[in-house]
Formats: sequence, structure tokens, C-alpha cells
Amino acid sequence: MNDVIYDLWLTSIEGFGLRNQLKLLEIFGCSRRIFEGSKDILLEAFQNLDRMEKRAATNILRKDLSTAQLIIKENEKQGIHVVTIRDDQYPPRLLDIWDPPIVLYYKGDLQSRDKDAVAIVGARKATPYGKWVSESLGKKLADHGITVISGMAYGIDSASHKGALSGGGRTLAVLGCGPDICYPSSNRQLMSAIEENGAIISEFPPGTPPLASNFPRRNRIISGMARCMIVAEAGLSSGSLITAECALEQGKEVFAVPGNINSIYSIGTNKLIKDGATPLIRIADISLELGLENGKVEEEFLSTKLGRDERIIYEALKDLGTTSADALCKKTGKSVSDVYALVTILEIKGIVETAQGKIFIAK
Amino acid sequence: MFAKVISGSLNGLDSEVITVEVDLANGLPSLQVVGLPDLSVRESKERIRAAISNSGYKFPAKRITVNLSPANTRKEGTQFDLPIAIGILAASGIIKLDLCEGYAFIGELSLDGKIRHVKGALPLVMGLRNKGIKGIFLPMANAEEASVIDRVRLYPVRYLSEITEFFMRGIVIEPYESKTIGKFESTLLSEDFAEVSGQEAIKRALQIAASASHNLLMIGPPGSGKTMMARRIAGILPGLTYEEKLEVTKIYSVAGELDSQRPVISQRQFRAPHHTITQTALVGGGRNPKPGEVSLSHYGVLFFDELPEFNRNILELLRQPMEDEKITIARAGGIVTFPSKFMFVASMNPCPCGYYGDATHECTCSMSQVRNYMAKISGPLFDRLDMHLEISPVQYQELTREHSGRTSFDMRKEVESARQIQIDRYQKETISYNSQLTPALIRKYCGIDRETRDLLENAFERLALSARAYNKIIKLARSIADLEGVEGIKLKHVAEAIQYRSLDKKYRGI
Repeated sequence: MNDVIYDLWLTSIEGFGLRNQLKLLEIFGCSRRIFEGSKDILLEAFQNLDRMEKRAATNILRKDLSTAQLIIKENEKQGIHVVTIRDDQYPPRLLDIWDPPIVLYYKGDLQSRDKDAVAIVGARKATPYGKWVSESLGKKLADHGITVISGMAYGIDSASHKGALSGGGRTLAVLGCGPDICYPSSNRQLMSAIEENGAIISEFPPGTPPLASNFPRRNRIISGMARCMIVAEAGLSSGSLITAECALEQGKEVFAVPGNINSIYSIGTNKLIKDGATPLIRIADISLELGLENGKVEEEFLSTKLGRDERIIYEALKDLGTTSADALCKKTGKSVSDVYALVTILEIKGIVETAQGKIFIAK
Repeated sequence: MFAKVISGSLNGLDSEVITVEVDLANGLPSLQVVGLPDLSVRESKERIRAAISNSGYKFPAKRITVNLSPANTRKEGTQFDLPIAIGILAASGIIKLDLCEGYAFIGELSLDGKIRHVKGALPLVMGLRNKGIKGIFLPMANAEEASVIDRVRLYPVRYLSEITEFFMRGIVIEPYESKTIGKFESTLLSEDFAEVSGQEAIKRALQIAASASHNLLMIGPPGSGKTMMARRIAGILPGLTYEEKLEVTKIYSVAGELDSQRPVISQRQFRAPHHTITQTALVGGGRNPKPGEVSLSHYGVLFFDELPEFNRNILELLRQPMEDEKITIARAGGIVTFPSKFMFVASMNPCPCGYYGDATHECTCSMSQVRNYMAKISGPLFDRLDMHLEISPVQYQELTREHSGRTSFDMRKEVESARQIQIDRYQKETISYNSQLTPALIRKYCGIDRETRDLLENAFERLALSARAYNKIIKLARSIADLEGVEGIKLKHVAEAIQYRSLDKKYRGI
């Protein structure tokens, strides 16, 4: 246990990159030995490393534990736990990636069943449809007792966490800042809910601000911890495409939710499918793919549950896809008031969703 | 030599009778005005001196004292020019004093003896009539505006000399006959809903809003027609009654917004102040308080385009006049109350760039920008908005189609009958339409059956509606039922009303 301080020391040396940290660790076996190694031995070991900054070498040789001590003190104050690459609790799937973090900071708890977790990622600026998809997926996975991993950003990430939580499941959030920092700050409530029903995880020590450069690094942990990954909605420039790339490099299966080909919010996911990702064409597909359910088709059952007028709206929505009230009126020949009333009833039955003036089937 | 002439002074929308006393005494020639005149009244002596001599009369070389009685209230405005001049002419014997008895005078003088337009002529004339004055001399330019009231003879004059000739040489001035009595009837506004292509759902929502004066917010990307639709709301509101027209005209008269082009206000007004508006311009004010936009939109529509661009404290200022339907302003010049019973309509883009959620344009804002934009509008103001509507731009095919939409005239007829139902229903209450319903009155007039109650309960659970939405939904359902002419609120009315609360929906946030 005392050795943790050396891991913290190693990972917090300024200018010393993760790849070299891992190499040095491989040479010495553990970080305590690195710390206790003589100058000559260390200098020799440096020969085997990638080109490193001069200040990194001097920083190592200075053997200053004060930063590590500060982190420990801060951890105690904030209730942050540390798990290192040598610990049993360390997420086992991360050991399989080529650049696993040496230490992980977390709040909440890590469990062995998180091994089968599924990651759901996507754009921050999501459509109501995308949010609904990710929330439903999160809930579906929670129903099967599967942990959901995401990044707690706006949009898809938040919706996925919320879905898992509303299904009474576990969820893990991997942050691009210290585990004590809530980013975005409006997610404070969500953050404490995740902490209670899962964990807030970060590779970065407490107090690290959410720098833009941290996020691509954090993405490899999201994909690394999961058994497979779903991209719920992504435009062409979404960071979730980077996560998908990580997942592919790590040999994970990637699922993508297809969108309309004219939707700027789905170009990224459609492209993923073109590049070989598995399309998810129904929410229940994920259970099938994971071998949790034998796919029964509920379609027929659904339409018998509906009244005549409700079915007319439902059928029209199936034809039109995501649409507006005006288009529904024209399609069905009903008045605005009838359409709105029926949409509300279908919404309450959980068959359609509306948001930002758009109506779509949510089944 | 002493003379006494009647005139009036404004106090908010009301006026009081002012007696102008003029005394000519021997001594060094001077003209002194007492009785708390403000600057515009004190300056009048220069105009009066020039106007009298330029009209061909001799300005008396005496020590002249003018007293505006009651002497303890502040007097403002240029309407005292004429009565003071008449007082001087009477005191110096050019007009016989007893002939002026029973007449009142208002008007501003120009140096050449012309009589010019004054502010607030309608309330001044009303105040004088109510005090039993039978004949009033007033500027020709104000005659039409004041002629909407009856039981008083108005003598429109252009020159000071006309009045002396009327009294001294018996030249006849015909009492003014209103030209707008007929026109005082409402005519339809030039902007018609039939010109709006597509957007049937929004038109329906606006009709519901108009039927009970529900405050509303429209959210949509640029070019979706928010402003175009807002401009047309006033046209589907029911016509103003005679009393309402009089009240609105009085406000415009006091604000100095009437002229010969627009002598009376006979239609519901649409006011759209720019977002740089000052607090005074919005609620009224000034040393001698004048009505602001909230009062100028009395019985009409107050429209705030791009709501988040308005200064936060401007938006907060709206709350009191919205709640109380009047605004009380206390200034050095006195305390006045102006009515402000308006329908509030606002529009906004969903984000700073305008395209968040748009199907074809990519939004360039970050999510926190989007959130901050929405957060600019405070909770208490949101609480006063009964409806939030999302507008999407119409498709090109819609724009090029033949217009077949409903006309404002058709829509207004339905609104009028819905309003009549409400007026009849609330006869014994202090309110007159649904948007004013209090929680106690909702229990009394908006009963819902078991089935509907269940639906509402489910809706709150399933759709995560906020608690404050409950009463709003019931009120909207009441209006929807009234528009349909149905007494009992049915399930479908409530179900429709839920769709008009888009900001309560969960996928809007996150």
C-alpha cells in the first residue's frame, strides 16, 4: 500500500510521458525500484527510452515526493480512491490495451462485473432523437445488469448515464479532468448520482482542469474498459469518432446507430457503418448482439395496443420518420388539435417522443 | 383689472380643471406666472407676448400676474398658452370677460398667433366635460382626437384671432363634427394570417393564445417566421369596445403619439420595442410621468423579438405590470397609474447562432453557449409564459404553394366567440378571461374527469413535466375547450395543451 506513493510520483513527473513511464516500469518491475534506483542505473535505463526531454530526466533524478504527497492529501480530503496497474481491482480490460494508465483515480466503487460494461458515446450537440436513443440503450443495458460507460459530457453521454441510472443500473463516467472537478458544471447532480451508482474515473490527479488535450487520451480509457462500444449519434467532427477509432485499435466491436443520410447529425455514425461498424437498427438489437435475449419482434403486439386513431398517427410517423405536426396533419388529414392530442397520448404510452418541435417514434 | 379663464392639466391619464387667473396692475411692465408652473409653462409668456402682438392686438404695458389655481399642484405642458393669452385679452378689455364664461381653452401658441397641437387633448377634454364645461376651444389638430367623446361642443381653432372675433364680432365657429365616429369601428389590420404559408400548427396555437390572452414564447431558427406571425396576432384579437378604444386613445394622447393622420386608436396595438429599450421607455416615467410601452400596448400585444438580447433588468421590470395589469410610477411630478393589460409575446432563437436543432444548418455554438442563452431568461419570467412553441422553417415546397391557409378574419370570429363564453362565465368574478384564472378559480371552473386526471398524472410522470406546468396546462385546456365551444374540459383538450409546453420537455435540456 505504501508503494502507491511511488506510482503517484512516477505518473506526476513533469515532462515525462506515459509511454516512457510504462517502459521504465517494465525495466524496473515497480515504481518503488525506480525511485530507489541509483543515478547510474537510471541513466543507463534512460538509454532504452524514447527520446525524452532533458527536464524529465532531471525531474526523475531529483526524486521529489512532494507532489505525490500533495495528491495523497487531496485524495483523502475529497474521498478519492486510487487503483494502480498492479491492483486486483484494476479494470482488467485496460491491461489489454497498449498504453494503460498506471494509476486511476476514482470516486464511488469499481466492481468485478464492470468487466462486461458497454460504452455509449456520441456528440455533445445531439438531436432529441439521439438523446432518446442513448437513453433507451442505457436503460436497456441496465435492465440486463450491464454497466454503462460514458464520458459525462453534454448530449449523448449525459443521456446514456441517465438512461442507465433510470433503469436502476450501474454506470461509470470517465473524465478528462480531475475526478473532483465537475465538467460540465451543470452536470453536478448527475455526477453525484453516478458516484453513488458506479464510479467517476479519471487518469488525471485531482485539480486537473478539463484541458482540450486531455479528452482524446481519456477516450482510450472509455473504449478500453468496455467490452464493446456504441456510437449513438455523431456528426463529422464529433470527438466520439476518435473514441470509435480507439475501440477499433483495441480490437473492440463498434456498433453505430444509423441516421438519415441527409442528417448532419448522423454523418459520423453512418460513415462508421460504411467503414465496418455494426449497425444497431433497433434498441433491442444490443441485447441480441450481446446474447442476452432471443430477439422477439414486438411490432404486432404494439399495434394491437393502440386505438384506431392512434394507429393512424403511428403508421404515418413510421412513414415520415422524424417529422413536424404540420406534416402529420397533412399526411393523416386530421386537424392540428387532433394530431396534438393523439401525439400526447402516444407519448404517454411511450411510443413517440417530441422535442424541439419534432415528433418521432421511440420504440 | 382681473380675468378668469378655465383650462385643464394632465395627471397621468386623468386631468383636473385649472382656473387661469390674470390680474393687470399698474407698475413696471412684466409678466409673472405663479402656481407651480414648470419650465414649459414659464416659457409660455414669451410665446404669448409675441402671439398677441402678431395677431394685431396691443399687449398691455402693465404688471401682469397669472395664477394657475389650484396653486399647489405642478403644471406642465404647453396647453396653458391659449388660456393665459385669452385671460390677458379679457383683462385688458379686448374680450368681454362675461362672454368667456362656461368655455374652456387649451392650445399652444406659436409666435405668429397660430394655435398648435397639444399632448393629451382627449383626457383634458374628458376631464373638462366631466366637470360640466359645455364648450371647449382647442387646436384644429386635436379636434378629431377629442371628438370621439360626446356631450360637449368642441370649437376647433387655427388662430388666436379667430377666438376674439368669435366673441367680439359674432363670427361663427361651427362646433366640430367627428369624421371618425364611423371609422372608430375596427377595421382589419393589413397583415393577414392567410399570407403565412404552412405553419398550421403554430397558427392554431396562436389562436388559442389570442382567445384568452395567454402569454407566449416562440422558439425557432432565423427565417422560421416568428416575427411575421407575431405581427399578425393583434389582428385576430377581438375588436375593442368603445370604452376600451377611449382608454387606449387616452394613453396615446398623453404620450403625444396622436396626430391628424392617426387621431384615434381604434384597433388593438402591436408594439415591438427594440431590445435596447430603456427602463423608462418600457414602463413609463419621466419627471412628469408619461406612459411607456407596457401601457401603449394596453389591450394589445407587446412583442419582444429576440428575448435573450434584452437586458436582464428590463425583463424583470415586466413582471409587475404583467401581474397587476397596471403600472404605478412615482416621480417628483406626482404619482400616476397607467393601465397595462397586454398580451405578451416573445420570440427567441434556440441558441446564439440560431441553428441549434435545425435540420439543415449546422449550429456553431458550444453546448454551454446554448445553455447560457436559455438561462438568460429568469425562472419567474418563464412562469408567466403560458405557452412555449417551437417553430421550424417551412419547406420550400410549402412557400411556393398556393395560399390556402385560414384568414385572420375567420380566426378572429372564433376567438371572439370564445372570449364571449369566457366573459359570460366570469361575470361574477373579477377576471374576464382564462389566462387570469387563479388556482382557486381553476378548481371552480376547470373541473376534469377521472380519465383526464389519470392522463395528466401519467403525463407528469412519463414526460417529466415540471410542477408549475400543471395550472398552465389546465388553463390552456380551458381555452381550447372554449374555442371549441364545449363547456366541460375533455381529455383531448388537456392532451393538446400538453404539446404547448415544449420547454418542459426533458430532451430539450441535457
